[in-house]
Amino acid sequence: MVFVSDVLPYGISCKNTKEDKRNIEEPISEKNLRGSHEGFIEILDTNLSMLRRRIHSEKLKFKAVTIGATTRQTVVIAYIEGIANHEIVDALFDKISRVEIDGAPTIGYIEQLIISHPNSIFPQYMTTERPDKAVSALLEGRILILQEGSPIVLIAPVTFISFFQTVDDYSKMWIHGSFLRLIRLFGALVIAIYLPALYIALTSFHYYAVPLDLLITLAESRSKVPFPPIIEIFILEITVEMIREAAIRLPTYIGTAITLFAGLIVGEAAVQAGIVSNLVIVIVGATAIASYVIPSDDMSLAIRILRFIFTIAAAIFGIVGIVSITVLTIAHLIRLDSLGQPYFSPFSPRVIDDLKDTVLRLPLKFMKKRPKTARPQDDIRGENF
Amino acid sequence: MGKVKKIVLFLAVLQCIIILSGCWDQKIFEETGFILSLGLELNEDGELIYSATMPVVEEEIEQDIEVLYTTAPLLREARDKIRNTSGKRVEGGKTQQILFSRELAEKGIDEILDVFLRSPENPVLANITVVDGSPLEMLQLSLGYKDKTRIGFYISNLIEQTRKRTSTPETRIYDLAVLLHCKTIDPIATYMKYDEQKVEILGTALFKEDKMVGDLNVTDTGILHALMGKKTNFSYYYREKSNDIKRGIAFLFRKLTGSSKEK
Amino acid sequence: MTENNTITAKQMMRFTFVCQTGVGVINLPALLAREAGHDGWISVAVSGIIAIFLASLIVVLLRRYSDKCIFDITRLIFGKIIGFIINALLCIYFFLVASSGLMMFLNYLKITLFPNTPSIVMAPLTMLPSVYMVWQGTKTVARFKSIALFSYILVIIYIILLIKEMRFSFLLPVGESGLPALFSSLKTGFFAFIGLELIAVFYPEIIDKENALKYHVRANVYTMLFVMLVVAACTALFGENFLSVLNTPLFNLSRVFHAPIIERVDVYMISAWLLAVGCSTRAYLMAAYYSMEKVFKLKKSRIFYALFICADIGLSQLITDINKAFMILGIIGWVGIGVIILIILCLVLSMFKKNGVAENG
Repeated sequence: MVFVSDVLPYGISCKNTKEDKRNIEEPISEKNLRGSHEGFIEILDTNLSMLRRRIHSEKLKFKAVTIGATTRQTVVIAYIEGIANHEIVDALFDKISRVEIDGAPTIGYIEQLIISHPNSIFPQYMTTERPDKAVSALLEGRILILQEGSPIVLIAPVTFISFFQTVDDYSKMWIHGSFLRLIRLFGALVIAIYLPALYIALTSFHYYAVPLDLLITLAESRSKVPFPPIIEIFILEITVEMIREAAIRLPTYIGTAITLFAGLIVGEAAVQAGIVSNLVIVIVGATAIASYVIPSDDMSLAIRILRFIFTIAAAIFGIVGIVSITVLTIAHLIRLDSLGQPYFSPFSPRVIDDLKDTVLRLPLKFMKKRPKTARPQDDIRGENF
Repeated sequence: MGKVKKIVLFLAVLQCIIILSGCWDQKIFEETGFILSLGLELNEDGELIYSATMPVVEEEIEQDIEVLYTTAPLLREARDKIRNTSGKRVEGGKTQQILFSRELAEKGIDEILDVFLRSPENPVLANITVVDGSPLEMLQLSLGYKDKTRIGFYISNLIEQTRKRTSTPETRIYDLAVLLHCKTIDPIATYMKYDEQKVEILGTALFKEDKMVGDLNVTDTGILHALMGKKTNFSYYYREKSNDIKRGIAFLFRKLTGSSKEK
Repeated sequence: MTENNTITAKQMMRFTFVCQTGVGVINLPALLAREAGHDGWISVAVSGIIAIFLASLIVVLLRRYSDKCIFDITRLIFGKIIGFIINALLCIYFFLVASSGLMMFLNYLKITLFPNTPSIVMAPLTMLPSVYMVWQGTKTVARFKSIALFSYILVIIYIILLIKEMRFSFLLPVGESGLPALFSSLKTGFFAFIGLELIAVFYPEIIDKENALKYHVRANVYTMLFVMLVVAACTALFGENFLSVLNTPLFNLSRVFHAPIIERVDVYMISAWLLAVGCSTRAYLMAAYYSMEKVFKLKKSRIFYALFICADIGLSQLITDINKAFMILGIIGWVGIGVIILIILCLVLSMFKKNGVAENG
């Protein structure tokens, strides 16, 4: 289609082909209750048009670059001019332009090639399939990376706490949102990481810290088990991880049967056979459920790996091992940066203003200023372009 | 580095991790025998009789506690001797109460307390009680208590309940140690007796320095608490000696305040 | 001023605070009880005031030379050769303090939680976070200190929970030990404040130097208040006689509370405080590493760093007896006072020898 006018000294042409594409439907991995049920799809132009539909501003800019020696794919950086920091945008654009690869089937390839700390377990870019999450990121001054053929977009720069925030937190009332966030943080950070390690530390090294009422029941259930606590926990944890991996690949009708089978096996039968004690079943079950509350899949994997490290440290050194590895993890988080911005802000380089949106979600009227993570050029949300 | 060198280095590190573990200090839970009650008394030669009860957790054994006892001149020696008879690794970290016989209390408990304070895993929260009789006999009789829980829990719950009604004072090891060292306040402890059916709290055992010199009954313990300035919740019964219809009055004291003057 | 070593004045304040209180406060109440009876907290207050005065003096000295650390200053005042000798001695002092900090840490672990494990095995584990952070630079080390403040809040909450068990009559009558005892206990009280000289090492890295004085004074005030609180709480709970025979009053404090469900909280309190102890040793380790780089003009190399850490661990294994360890700590305390006096001496001398002094100094 070509558009020519006698007022303009140039003409505009654009594609108008009808392509076979997937319908816009809710992403499977990011469901929610109170937001839109749309998700990005594989066609880059449709994704860009979804963004344009939500931000009716000429300040929304897209910068395109072609990468991939064989596939010649388009990668687009989206940002809102005047809010996003242009130094960060330029730095990111440079990084992507310099990527040398023959083709990127998914956006993960690009993510791994531009990441600053490839050996860290913590993700430094957030992924999302939802346009409303992408839009709120843009409004905070963050930058999106979209790739042709990928329904997943990357958001940068991000902080540690943003992996625990969902769109639902903001669309509900502030007390509800804060409550959900507290449960999520407590479950993900305390239970999912520390519970098995604490169990091992107490039963292997510090028996005197076990509460008196629990003493007899714990000893009774453990006396039937021939293995030391660390082996017990490992048997169950590895079983749970294998079930998890298997569940992704199975079609749904077999999936339900597998979970039933797994529940039976890992549950009563193992206890009856004397392989594990019933307290351990409760612990591993609670841990598994707690690790599902993390909205981001990358962070969930990071937490799972961290849990293994903590369990091994507790088995070797008891509670001192747990404390040491905690310190090491926090030290690593302090050191990490996402696109140059400190990862553990607002806790570590303490930014008091940004603390309003971390553990609790304070009312929207307190959120007039944008968080400092992306170093936005324009602090105040509103009419101040 | 060459490939072989890298592999050798990795294996060396792995080996180090496996060797450098806190295995020396591992106390696996089910292999540990927890002493819940500890009894101490003197025999005719002046040696210490050390008795302890540990709960039995294996289901195939009928009796629910294990009573161990031995005779030795020193406390630590006695503990080591006991370890030679039990199949579990005997640890004192969860001791709930230490039972002294009256004779031992009258002789002095300073040395024994000292031992408990030094070891880090011994709880300084254990209750100190004086038994009118022999703790070993009490522990052995308790095997016949058909309607009570394990003796360790029974005594511990009993002390806690009577403490709330101020029939007996709260004295843990560190309390006694602090009072012994400060030399200005006289220590007190729980006082109890036993028979074939039950254990009964008698009141308070009074100490001067580290030797027991007397005791108070339950009612007087309540008044003692009032004198010490702590909250009270006890009843005082007054009996009429005549044969009137009203045989007596019970005063219920909720809160007493008092002040004292020194001369 | 290197990129990953820059810190703000507020971070320096937390750095100094944690460094001063981490290791010393575990044993200090017992030492003070032996010398001053139940008036230990008074001697802490008095030596705190002296420490605040000395701390301000140090910052005033540093302000005169606007951008230099103590090593450059000694070189300017005493000349190149003597200055180098003094700098080398300072380096060795920091290294020894770092080692002795680790030694105390390992000894405390041995007598509280892990009696049978040899300390050579515990050392790599406890050093692991420090090794990581010191390599990353002062920025990371300083940022972590604000997280270590969590241990302090826990201790304060715990002391508040214990108020019911305390007998405040143990603290009365105030001043009973008399002035001579108070004077002789001042030096013990001052040991709690060793650590205020570290600002002289890191001064060039502070971004907002105009706030340095304010925050440094605040750090010492906080130290004084916190140590007073702990000493008073220990005295009120244990009484001066019992306190003087205790080895680790702070940890004994944690064994006293009977929590409703979990019964014994000492495992958790001790491990929380070990966080702060680790921070304190790490502060001196950072100072030692930084000063070695500056004085001997070394570049950052992995091999040297590995040797540095091994030397540190090796030195800490020399003393495994807790009483000898306390003796060493006392000696180091005296040397620390000497270092502070040296810095004050530099200030006095800088009045006369004016080269290198900035115009607005």
